[in-house]
Amino acid sequence: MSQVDPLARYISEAEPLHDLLRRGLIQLSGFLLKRTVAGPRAIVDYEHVEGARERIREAAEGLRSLRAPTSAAHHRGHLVAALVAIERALAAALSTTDPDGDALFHFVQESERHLRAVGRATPGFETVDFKQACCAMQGAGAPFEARFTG
Amino acid sequence: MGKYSIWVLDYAAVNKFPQSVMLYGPQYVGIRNLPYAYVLIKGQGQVILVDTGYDHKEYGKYLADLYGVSNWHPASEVLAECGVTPADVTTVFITHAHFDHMGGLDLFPNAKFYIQKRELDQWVWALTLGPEFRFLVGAADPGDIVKATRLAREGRMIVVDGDRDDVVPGIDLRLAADTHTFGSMYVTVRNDGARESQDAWVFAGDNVYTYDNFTGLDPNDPYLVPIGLATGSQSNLLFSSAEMLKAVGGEHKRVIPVHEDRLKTVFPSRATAAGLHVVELALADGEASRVA
Repeated sequence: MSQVDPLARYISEAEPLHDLLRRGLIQLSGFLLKRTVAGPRAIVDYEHVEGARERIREAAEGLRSLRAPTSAAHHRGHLVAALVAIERALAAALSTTDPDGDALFHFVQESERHLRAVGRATPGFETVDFKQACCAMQGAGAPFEARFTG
Repeated sequence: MGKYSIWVLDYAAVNKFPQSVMLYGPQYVGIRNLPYAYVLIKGQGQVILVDTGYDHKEYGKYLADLYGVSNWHPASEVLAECGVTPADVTTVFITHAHFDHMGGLDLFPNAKFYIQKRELDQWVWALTLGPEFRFLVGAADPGDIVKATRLAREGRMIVVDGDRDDVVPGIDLRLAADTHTFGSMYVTVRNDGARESQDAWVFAGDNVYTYDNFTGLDPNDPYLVPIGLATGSQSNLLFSSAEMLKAVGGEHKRVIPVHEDRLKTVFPSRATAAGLHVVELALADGEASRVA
């Protein structure tokens, strides 16, 4: 019976959770951006906050059961820290005690820092989906040189 | 002499870029050199950029290793070719929220930034869609949204809702909705200041990648050809291109695609010591040439 490499299994399980966190982060920061530019008297739709809440819930469930080999412990640590920060950001977005968005912004930034750290640690976990990037389209899916010199 | 001096400044390049992404059509028909560049506009007390470049600190190595992006140089060095520092920049127009146009938001500490409301709203909306729709949100960096939020909290992110004339004197912003992106914007500089300008330039963002988008590849049978990537529609791209051409009196070389490698041969230019290019489009009264 073949054994799946624990690190490879971890990466395949962590990638969708990272994507959920990334999307939740964009939704919460997008909500704050819209609220900030609309001004203090504006009524801002909470649809994005609700969307972020669902993504964060899914990410939290997945991270609870995600087992990391020793070599990935640091990576998992950043994912968990990103989750904790984004959960706090969500709480701030839903509260009435953060009218200027200071707490929301603080935790959004903290979550983003941890997601960046994950991206630096592991190819494929970048916060930008370059696979869909028009100005980097030529490289999608393979090392650049392999595509043009093979 | 116009009211503004205008340059297109390379900051990186991809040497082997598929033509089919630039010009919708058959695949595997060739590759081109694709400069990454931004536009510097100086005059009337303003130092203006169209777009900011990408966040090299975060993913420069990744872009270089996996996507062949080469010869990146920082804004401090690139702008210095025209005697400008990042701190001098007063205004930045963000044509669209892709990583290589919006990634440098942190680099210009004294600038106000302008972006279309539709661009921001729709990016966030698109992310409420499931992962099967990720084509629609590729190339957007969540970090750029966080940076934009910071700027908004500082009062430095101006969200524009549609067209706006004379955002600074003689410079107009035009929404090209649902084209390359949901809320792409192009910038028109009426360099004689006239409403019906005889000296207009249009900075197209990525709605136009190459002059061939205006003519196709057969000079005997010209027609508008869209770029390869539209999260909106290619028909909207074509109509937007037609509007840009109207703004410059049909003189298509005055619609500037920053990814067009031939800018350096169409206009006066020079190569820098770093192997990048400074392309000079216009000089205001009293401004010295940066390419002579």
